[in-house]
Order: sequence, then structure tokens, then C-alpha cells
Amino acid sequence: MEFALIVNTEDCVGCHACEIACKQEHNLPVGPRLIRIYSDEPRHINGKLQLRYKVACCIQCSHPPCKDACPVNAITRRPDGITVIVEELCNGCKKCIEACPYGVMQFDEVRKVARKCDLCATRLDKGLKPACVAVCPSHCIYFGDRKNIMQRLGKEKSIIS
Amino acid sequence: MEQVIKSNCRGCHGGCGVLVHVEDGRITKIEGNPDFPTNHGAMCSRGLAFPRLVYHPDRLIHPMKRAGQRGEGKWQQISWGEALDTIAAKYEKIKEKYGAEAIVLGYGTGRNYEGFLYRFANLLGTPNVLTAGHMCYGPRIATSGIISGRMTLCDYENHPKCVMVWGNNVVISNGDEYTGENLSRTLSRGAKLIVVDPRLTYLAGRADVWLQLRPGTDAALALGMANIIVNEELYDKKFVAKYVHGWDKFIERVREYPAEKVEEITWIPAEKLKQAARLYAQTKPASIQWGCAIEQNINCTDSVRALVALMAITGNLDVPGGNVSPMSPPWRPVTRFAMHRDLPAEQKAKRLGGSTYKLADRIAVITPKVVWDAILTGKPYPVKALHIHGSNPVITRSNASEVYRALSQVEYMVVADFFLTPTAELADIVLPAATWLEMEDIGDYWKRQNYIYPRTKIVQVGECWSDHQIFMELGKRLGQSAYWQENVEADLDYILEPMGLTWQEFRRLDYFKIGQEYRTYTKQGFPTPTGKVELYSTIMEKWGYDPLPGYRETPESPVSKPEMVKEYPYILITGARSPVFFTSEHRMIDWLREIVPDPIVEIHPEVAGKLGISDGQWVFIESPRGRIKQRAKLTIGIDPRVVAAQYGWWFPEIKNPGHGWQESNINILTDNDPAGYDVAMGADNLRVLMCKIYPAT
Repeated sequence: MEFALIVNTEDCVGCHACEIACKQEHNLPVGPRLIRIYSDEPRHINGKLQLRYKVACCIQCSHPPCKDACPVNAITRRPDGITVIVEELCNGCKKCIEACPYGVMQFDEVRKVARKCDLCATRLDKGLKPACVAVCPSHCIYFGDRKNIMQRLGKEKSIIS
Repeated sequence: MEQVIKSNCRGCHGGCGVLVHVEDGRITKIEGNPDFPTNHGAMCSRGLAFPRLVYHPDRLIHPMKRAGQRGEGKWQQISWGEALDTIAAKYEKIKEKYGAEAIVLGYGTGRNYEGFLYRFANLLGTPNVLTAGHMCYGPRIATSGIISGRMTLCDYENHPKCVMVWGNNVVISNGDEYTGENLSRTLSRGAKLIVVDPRLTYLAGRADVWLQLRPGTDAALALGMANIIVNEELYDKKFVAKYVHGWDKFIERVREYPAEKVEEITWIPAEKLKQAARLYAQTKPASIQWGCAIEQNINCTDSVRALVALMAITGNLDVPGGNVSPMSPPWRPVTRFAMHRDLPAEQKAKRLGGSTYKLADRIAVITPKVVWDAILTGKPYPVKALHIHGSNPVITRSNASEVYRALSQVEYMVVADFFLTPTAELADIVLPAATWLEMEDIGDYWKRQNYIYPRTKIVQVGECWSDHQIFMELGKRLGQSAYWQENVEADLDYILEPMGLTWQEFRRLDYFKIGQEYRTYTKQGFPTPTGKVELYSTIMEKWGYDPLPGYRETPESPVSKPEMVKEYPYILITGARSPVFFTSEHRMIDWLREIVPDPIVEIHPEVAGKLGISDGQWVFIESPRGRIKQRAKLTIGIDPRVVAAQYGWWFPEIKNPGHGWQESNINILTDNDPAGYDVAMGADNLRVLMCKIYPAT
């Protein structure tokens, strides 16, 4: 099984609660945002003018370019599919930030290390959901086995009720 | 050693169950409590970031007295004893010389100390309590009170099949007694959605019908809907026959609002209006989720009355999944604890503006300008002291320049708050207020929802005291000892006593659920003079106001003042909520400010192009009262005739004592001329102005 986190942006209300939950869980300073909400331009969808949000977050690539780019092997991919940075090994060279095709790798100017979404690995170990999933008021962040999520997205209503 | 303590957030009005993580006596994290019935673990950014406020380096942590000229920013730390003795002595003197009415109490948004503040004020003998209640939630409570007998809320627990969100962005604001999570759940179950909003919000985009009305025309729109519902006989005939007072006169009035005329007033195409009216009236149960946008203009009570009428005639009042009046727990209710009945009649009669704004008088609130006038002109009598808790009127009340002048000139001012706001900077004494994590508190004493819950004291920060304790200790110095228990806990025991619970027992509960009954009117009628829903209000009639809801044009609009259009071509609306700030708060919280660093004004790209304004550029917004600066955001989600600015902005990072109160403060632009007030509530027009806009760089 490989873990993944997918956002159904159709339901995202743009409240930014996930960003703060993440900051808190990872003790982040101003600067790095491991999940980030961007307001999209209003556009017509299904004949209606709609306002949607874009959510930027690590997608836990199967073959992470950040890992390949790291000169000190500080980035590893766990068997459960989560790519993590071992902070003690990170030398702050920012090669991973250049390598990330999604622009979601972040830099912590206080600790001088790269930071990324680790799906709240320490919470998972305690049987908890990632912090952003737990606080989302529109229940639009889906987490679990990658293979099952798309299926779950389709049955969204039954999950919520 | 980490501890996890259950509590209930009160970062805004409160109500979300939380788990507070504490390590070595310090709060390290706040998360939602997944088992709590009002929020199911969901949280907003403000609540999650709250520890950053608790431990903020600028937090007020000791009482201080002014050490220089007023507003000079020089302070000297003093003890609580000195602070309270000084204040008490001053109030004694003012009361003796000018009467208790010369001391005005004040608070901002509903923060659960209303009962303690009013108890103090009523015992002191002042009828003057300055709140946001004249234009925020108070009108819905007061108007519902005289029309249907009780304020109503959306009954999300029983799954409305249609929700009409009116002037409210609840999914990011979580305003009043609501958490947006409940609406999200309802929508996920497939409920139909109607949204009334001049701006494209997330909800407006998602709606089955979005009514993008001309700002300030809500009352006409609601009456137009009633017109369609009456004409097409979509109303609940049995309910109307048995439980409505004044149906014929109401019909006569709504006949004045046919769809075509309403289209002209509101900009809403007649067909779209019909579609919304039919969807709301024909989907059962349907619920109206209303916000303060309907209140902050000249048609405040008219809009509320028209919306209560829609709830009633469609048979959605007091039914599961409709708009319901939650039951009160069997405790000592807040109105009783507040001792409103103990304010002597001769003092009540002195309430500023009380004989003018009779509906406001009924719920013991006043409109702010009467206070500024009394300070500045001494009429009808002088106001000598302001005692304000958790309120920043320099930023949040209309005509900020006048507010600043009045606050600078009042003889004596005490402010209790978390920070030295632009308002607190004008005080003689500032008192450090405790946050909800630093007090014993019954949540939420002032509310009307189906749950009550304990908040326990988790940490002590500096010398901060709860507002409750401040009023209790100050009251005891002013001869009120017989009316306050020996400490806060004993007061809470007193409140809970009729429930057969002590505070020590209550504090161990996660929450207490209050039962809900429906259609209580079938047994006892509605608690109004006629026992019915008074679409024709006998109380408004008695007071000399129009007994029926109607629509009036705002004094400053392109329709009423066409001659102004050349100079001020755009309608300015000012209520857009930010997802990361609550009213004028939180601008000093780094995590939140990172998300929204600057005030934002939304402009249609066509207009911006014509004016040479590009996305992200600083622009001046100017009204006849003054001008301010905000950053332009170009969006097709706004009508080209309208611009939408944010409110509540000041800049804690500007270290001079004004903290940039004039820079981007929307209330530099608003007007507090009584000509624009709601006649019964004194609600001032915060929402519909005329403006011009141009590049600032």
C-alpha cells in the first residue's frame, strides 16, 4: 500500500485552515507552506461563473526528482510511499527545490533546511489522519491508499454522511 | 510531558470543540475535536493559529496607566489593585457629578462576557452599553423577537434540502452561531443552494441560483420573492390561515414589489428572481442562512422582517431542517444574570437614542453616534467615561475620524484587550484581558444554539484576567459586593444552579446537549402580542414605525444622488470577509498575515483597465469623507459598477501609537449621518457608499 493525499478542489472553500494546521504540526516559521491554497481566476464551469481554489502540495511522486537531486541523500522514499527529508542530513543546498517539477518543495530560513509534506508521518504512526485532512471544514482533502482514493472521491457523499 | 485538554475555541464567537496540547505548562498546539457535534473536528485558520496570539510578544500582560499625553504611546505598569482602585474612584466621582449615564460601557462582537458586562452596567446604573448589536446580529435577534417571538437558526442537524445563504460567507467566516462545516455537510448531501451576494464567493459560484444584487437592495429582493410566492400560491396555506397576523395587509404590501419593479431596483432579472423564489418555496425543508450584510444599511429591520416572512409563509419556521428557535438550557439565563430588570426606570429612560431607536432600546443597545455626540457636544448630556472591552471602534465603527476625535476628547477611558490597538492607545488605563485558554467559562452563555460546553483555564499568561473577573472585582469596589459571588467559579455555580450542576461537575463534561422541540406554536402559539407571526407588526405600529416591511433607497446611492455619480461613479461595498482575520483582529499573527498581507479591494477588470489600475497595485479609494489605500484585485466576480473593499485593517507593525489607523481603514470612508440609519435599530450604513478609485502609485 502507498499513501497519497488528493484534494477535491470542487469542494475547497479557500479557508486556508489546512495551511495553518500544517504550520502548527510541523512547527514552521513564516515562509515555508507545505500545503498552499491559491485563489483561481473566476471562470465558467458547467455554464456558471464559479470561484475555485488551487491547492499545491507534494504529490509523493513514485520517482521523486527531489530525492534524485539531493547530493547528501537526505531525502528518502519510505515503503509506504511517503517521501521524507531527514533534517539532520539536509545541508540546505536547495537542489531539491530546483528539481521539484510542482514547485512545492519549501525552504525553512530559520533552520536552513528544505521542508516538504510528509503526510504527517508522526501522526500516521499514532493512527491519526494528516493534520490538514482532520481540520478541513469542507472535507475535501482525501487521504489513504492511493489506489482507493479516486474510488472514494466518486462516493464522496457516503464518506461524509 | 504532553497533556491534551478538551475545550472550546472562542477565537471568534466561539463554538468549535478543540483539543489543546500542553507541554510543560505551555500550549503547543490546538486541533479540532473530531467528536464534537458542532464542528466534527473542523477548524478555521484563526482558531488553529491561536497559540501565536496567546504568546505574542506584543500581548498586553500587565495593567498599565498612561504616562504621557493621551495617545502618545507612553505607559507605566501598575498593579491590578491600583488600576481598579483608580478606575473605581474616577467612576464614583463621575457618577456623583454627572450621573451613572455619563459612563458608557462598551464591547465589540459577542464574546460571552455580555452577561457580566451588563450586570456591572445595570448595577452601576448606566443605561448606555455600546456594542456592535445595533448593526450586527442584534437586529436579527430583536426583529425576530417582535415578529415571530424568537430568533431562529438553520437546523443543519436535520438536513435542510435547500439553503438560501443571504449576505453571508459562512464557510470562511463561521459567523454568529454557525460553523461553516455544517453547511458543507448539508451541501454534500445534495441540498439545493441559493446565494444572495453582490460578490462571487465560493458559495455563490456553487449555487443553483446566484442572485448578484445591487448592494443594499436586500429588502426589495426579499419582498419580490414574497410577491412571487404569494402570486403563484406557493405558500403554506394552512400555516398562513392559522398562524399569521396581518396577511391581507402583507399581501397588499408585497403587491408593490412585482418582479419587474424588483429587477429595476435590485438588478436581478425577473426570471432569475422567480427561479429562486420557486426553488426556496417548493423545496422542503428550506432554511435561510443570513448574515450581517442585511443589517448594516438603512433597510435593516425591513430585510429581517421580510426574510422572517419568507420563512413563515413557506412553512419553514420551527420545523426540522428549517429555521428553528433553539431551546434554552435550564440555567440562569444571560438576560436574568445581566439584571436588566434592575436598571431603575429613570435611568433606563436616559438611554442615549433610546426614544428614537425603540427596537434597539428593547434589547438595551445604542447606536454609536449618540455617544460621540454626547462626548463632543455635551448633548443631550455629557458622557465623561468610556469603559471598553474587546472592541476597537477606531477601526470598526462608521466615520472613524469622528470616532477618533471623540475618543481623544473623552475625559476618561479604560480599555481591556489583548493588544494595544489604535483604540487602546487612546486610553488612560489599559487592562490585560485573558483569552479563552486562560479562564473558566461556560460556553456560550450568550448564544442560542443547542449545545453548551465548558472552557477551563489551561494557562496563565502574565497578569491577564478574564473579563468576568474584571467586572466582578471592579463591581465590588463600586458597592456591588452583594451581587457578585466571592470568585468567578462561584458565579458559574450560580448560573448553573437551576440545572442541578456545579461548575466542578460541568467542567468535566465534553458538552451538554439541549433538547429541541419543533412546531411548539401548535401548542402555545408564537410569543408575540397576537400569538401569531406578525407580518404586520403590532409592536412596530405601536412605536410609530411602518408595521410592514418595505424598501427605501440608501441616501447615498446612484439612484438617490445621481448628481454624485460624476465625481463618485462606483458603489463601494465594505463587508468582504477574509478567511484569516476576524473583524479588526489577528493582523499581528504572522502565520495569518503571511496568507493575507495587505487589504484587498476587488475591481472589475474592465473598470480597472479604464482607470489604469493593474492587478496587485495600491489604489486610493475615496468617498466624500476621505480616502484610504488598498491593493487592487481584478476579478470578473464583481459587477463593473461595484467595488468591494475589505474592512478592519490597521497595522500593528507600525509602531507609532496610531498603528496606521487612517491608512486602509474602511471606516474613514463610511458615513454615520443618521439619515442613513434604520429607523428602529439605529443600524448605520456600513455597506453601501459611493466612491472613486484611482492608482496610488
